[in-house]
Amino acid sequence: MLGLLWLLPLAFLAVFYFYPLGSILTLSLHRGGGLLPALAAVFNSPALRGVVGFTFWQATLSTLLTLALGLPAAWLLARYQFRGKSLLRALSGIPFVLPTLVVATAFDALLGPRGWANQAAMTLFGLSAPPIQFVNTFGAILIAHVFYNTTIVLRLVGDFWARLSPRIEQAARSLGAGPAQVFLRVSLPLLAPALAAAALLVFIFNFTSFGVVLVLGGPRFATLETEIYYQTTALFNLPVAAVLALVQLLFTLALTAAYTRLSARLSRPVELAARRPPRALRPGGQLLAGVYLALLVAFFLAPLAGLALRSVSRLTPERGQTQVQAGLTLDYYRSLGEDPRGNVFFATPARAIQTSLLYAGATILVSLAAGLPAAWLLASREGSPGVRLLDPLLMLPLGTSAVTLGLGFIIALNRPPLDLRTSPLLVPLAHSLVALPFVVRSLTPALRSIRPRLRQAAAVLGAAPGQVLRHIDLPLVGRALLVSALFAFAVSVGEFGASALVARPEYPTIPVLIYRLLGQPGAQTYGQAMALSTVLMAFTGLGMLLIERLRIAEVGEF
Amino acid sequence: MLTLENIHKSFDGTVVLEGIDLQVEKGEVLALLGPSGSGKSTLLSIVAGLETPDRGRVLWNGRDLAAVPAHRRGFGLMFQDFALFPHRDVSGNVAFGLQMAGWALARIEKRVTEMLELVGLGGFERREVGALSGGEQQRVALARALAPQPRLLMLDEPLGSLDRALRARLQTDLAAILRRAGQTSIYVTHDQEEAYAIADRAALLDAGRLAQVATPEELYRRPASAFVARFLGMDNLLPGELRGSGRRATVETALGRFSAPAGGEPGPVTVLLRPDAFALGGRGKGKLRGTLAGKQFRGSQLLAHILVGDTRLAIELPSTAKLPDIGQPLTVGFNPTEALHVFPND
Repeated sequence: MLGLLWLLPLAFLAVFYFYPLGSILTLSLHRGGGLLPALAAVFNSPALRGVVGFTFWQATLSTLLTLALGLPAAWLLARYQFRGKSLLRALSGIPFVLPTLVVATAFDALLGPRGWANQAAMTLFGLSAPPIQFVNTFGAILIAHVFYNTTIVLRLVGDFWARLSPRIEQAARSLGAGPAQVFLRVSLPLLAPALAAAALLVFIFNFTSFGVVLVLGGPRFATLETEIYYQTTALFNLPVAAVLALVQLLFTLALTAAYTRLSARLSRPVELAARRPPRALRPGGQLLAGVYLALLVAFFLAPLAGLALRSVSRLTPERGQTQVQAGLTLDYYRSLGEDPRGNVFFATPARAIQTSLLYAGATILVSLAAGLPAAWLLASREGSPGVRLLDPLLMLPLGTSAVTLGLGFIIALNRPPLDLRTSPLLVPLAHSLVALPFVVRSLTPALRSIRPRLRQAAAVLGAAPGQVLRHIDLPLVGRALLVSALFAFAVSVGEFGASALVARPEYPTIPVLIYRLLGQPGAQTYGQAMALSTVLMAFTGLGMLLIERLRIAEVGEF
Repeated sequence: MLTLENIHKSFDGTVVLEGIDLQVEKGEVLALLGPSGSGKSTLLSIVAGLETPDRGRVLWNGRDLAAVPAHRRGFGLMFQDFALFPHRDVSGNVAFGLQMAGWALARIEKRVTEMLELVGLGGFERREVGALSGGEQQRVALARALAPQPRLLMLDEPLGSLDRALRARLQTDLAAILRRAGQTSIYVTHDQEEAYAIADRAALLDAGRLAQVATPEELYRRPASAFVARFLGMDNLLPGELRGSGRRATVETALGRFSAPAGGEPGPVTVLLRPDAFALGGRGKGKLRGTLAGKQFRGSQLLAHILVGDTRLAIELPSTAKLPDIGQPLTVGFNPTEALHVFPND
């Protein structure tokens, strides 16, 4: 019985994670004639070397910009009390949970050629072409990455900073250090581990960023992720894609390992001060902080508000027309069921929503089927050698890029012995892999909270086994089950990287269809993309809101 | 009436309980005393039906309970770690047993209020149990165990984590509650004072065996073994040699030869000199000369440590006693028949 429980998550990982990744490895090594020749092939090609170089360059720059924007806010959150503080915290977390396609579309709606800024400028100044070049620039990639990851700096560094006792800094002051010296010689060294961990995590996200680079960067910019996608879907050059995926895997593995070591140091408390009530800002600083925080909030909200508004506004003329009756409209939502291009292969947005919801349902089932036994083992066999092995295994998909997973599926599951090419389960299986770490992480603490003592206490109070299940186990796990189902749902409807590779053309998911729509001309298709993105934003937002509501404070490991 | 017959239990080869025979009469409060690790909690688990004994029987009014699962025994158990249900508020916890027993809603509500008043938590009904202090959680656990009026109530160190004042108050209250309700109870504690205050009888467990079962007074007056004496805080234990028998029996110790109580086997023994049987000065049949090594003021008592040769003795004196300075000689007297207990060696 217990053996079977082990089997389920392990078999799932073996077949749908290790087998595909192994196939990538085999293919790349087979082509290159060994690990070193395969890698040499990448680094000898100037084009591919450029891809690797750009991947690092954009990730580094994005990370530095994120730190620059986020650190002052982290300091304010940690040390000062001001109105709207909790709102700022909550707002900063929103971008992080949004699907990449929503973020990309949101920036397009704000700054793209058909977006608010350009259309307003064109109307105001009577211009014939959009004056702001945003989409398909390096800047777009950087800004979207900063938008995404600022919250990591706020949370990781800000929380760590708040835990550092101000007494230490006061002691330095009393020993004759000026404010600058205190920061450089005391605060900064103390913050270093948190700072490094945050920077590394942001770097990892930027390094493996796919949707943002693909949609906002356009064809001029290629990172490892987009190149794997391009080699796979446009050139059908699977061996090159496999070699690139191998390079990507090696880098992400190394980065993730470094992050794990760093964050382990973070949990070691430097100075456990009781959280002192933070001070109020001085009047002079108040203005500065106010302007900065207002800009920050605007930065978080403007693209999303722009997206939602753009989905109900007519700004640009339909193809073949020159004039437009600008104004509010619900046409784009009404047309979600229509196919404006009359293409046989075109799936309507309504179909994509239906497909995504079905896939999400299947993802919930699959990820819970694999995650529940895993979580149960982690909770009940804590500390046993098998569990110590299982735990990091389950987290592996989190450190693997979705595009790589997708490529692995294409290479491994498109041929015997396991040919799932036509199986509608292919996409949910990929989504379940991505969702599995979240499912396990939210279920395990809940299961662990049901100590055998509680069941005994219930039994002694007269509860029969069935009643114990109903009154003790279910209420305690039920919530966590719901939370993990919601995580699986949110992951599935928003996932883009793997879906872009494995979704069948006639059954696109919502993000895949948004990407297609954005690449097509016409006010109507653009409007549909906006409406569909807004729907997706609503799905994800609702899911995350429910998760926040349902999560019991002391039960949860995020 | 609860009867335990020859209960044995081991975990992974370690013997935890060994041949326990014990009875708890109807309406009686039995204190189960013993150092930690002596098997007290395991014994409760077995009575509650949460553990199965390896050997032996648990009987209620003569009926074997082996086939009766925990939830049908009608026994209450208050856990040492409380085991409150984190997803239910205070009243939800207290009401649980009543709901399981199928009480009507109004009656449950009334009983819950009554129980919370009893433990001094009136008005706490809607509080989350996670937000309560340790002492409050303990009282919720107590109310929850008491609420369904179990035919046998078992309390596992119920006052363990309370501060002194609250502990003293609840100790009195608890004794009153148990008495008034004629509640048959087993009360686990490692604190003898608590056992004296609450129990009709006390059973002392020593590494899985019963060392003595007696009324608190008897336990204190006539400890059955060196272990019992040591557990009760009587530390004046010396090795000795029992000679002769009957009324002529004597015991030879480092402090001299004394006449011994009747009934022991000649040979090496352990001798207890009760700390409470001494008086300053040379009155009494026995007499010891030594020096004062230290003193502790204990409120109504004065605890003096005296050095007689190489032997250190603790003696309890009224706090009005006039002691010489530390290091000065003094003489204490005692009545050997009262002060001396002779135990066979373990």
